[in-house]
Amino acid sequence: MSCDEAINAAFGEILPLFPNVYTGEELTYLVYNYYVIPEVYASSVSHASRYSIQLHLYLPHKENPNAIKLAIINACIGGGFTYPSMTNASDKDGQHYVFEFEYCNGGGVYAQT
Amino acid sequence: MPRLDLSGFEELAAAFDKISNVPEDVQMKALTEMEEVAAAEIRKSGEAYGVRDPESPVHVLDSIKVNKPKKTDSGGYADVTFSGSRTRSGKQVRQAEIAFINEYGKKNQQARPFVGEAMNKNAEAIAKAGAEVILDWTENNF
Repeated sequence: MSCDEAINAAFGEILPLFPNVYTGEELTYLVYNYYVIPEVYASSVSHASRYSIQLHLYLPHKENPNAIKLAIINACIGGGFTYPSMTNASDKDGQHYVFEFEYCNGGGVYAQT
Repeated sequence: MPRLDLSGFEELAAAFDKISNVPEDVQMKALTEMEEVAAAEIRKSGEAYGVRDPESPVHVLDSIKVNKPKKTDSGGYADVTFSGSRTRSGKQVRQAEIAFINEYGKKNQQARPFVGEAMNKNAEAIAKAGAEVILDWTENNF
């Protein structure tokens, strides 16, 4: 399964989910981005890819984020990702929590992305 | 009948002895070398992500500071920081805050995790820079 497929399968039912950036009208949503590190080299060819993922939860200040945070952590565990760390990046525009975790698949960077 | 052998414990113990004798100034030098590599890679990663704002005279990538390592009971540590601040729309903003917003993004602004990616992709090179200082000392002193 590609990284995007895995992310959509795990988190797509929690909230509206968008890659990279979202500029629409939703107030509570998820955004993800990742970079890829090639691993498991043989004859100078990568045979696995490690994805370092940021999943951003945005919601208004008035909302309680706890149930969504828990759903994200559970989806990480159930979706084959590493356990996430979380950074609170909230500002005057709203709550913003950044979950960081990893995903791995075989076949190398060019076969799976 | 299969036979299992274990050997090399004396060499292993001798290697630990060598490491335990590495003086403080060599440990601090190793940390500084690691910091230098980390700072250069963070700067390079920031350039690749387009973190540099060409209109700003005092830029976040030019504020990356390699600090003097500090000793602890178990060894030491060193911080690579974003120092100083700059004026933005008439308001004073810390460079560390600008780096944070780039790293994690904000509403309507995509994250550019230039620090995390630099550290993640170059962990081996950063460790190697410190290891070379330690190995150089052990080879010249034993």
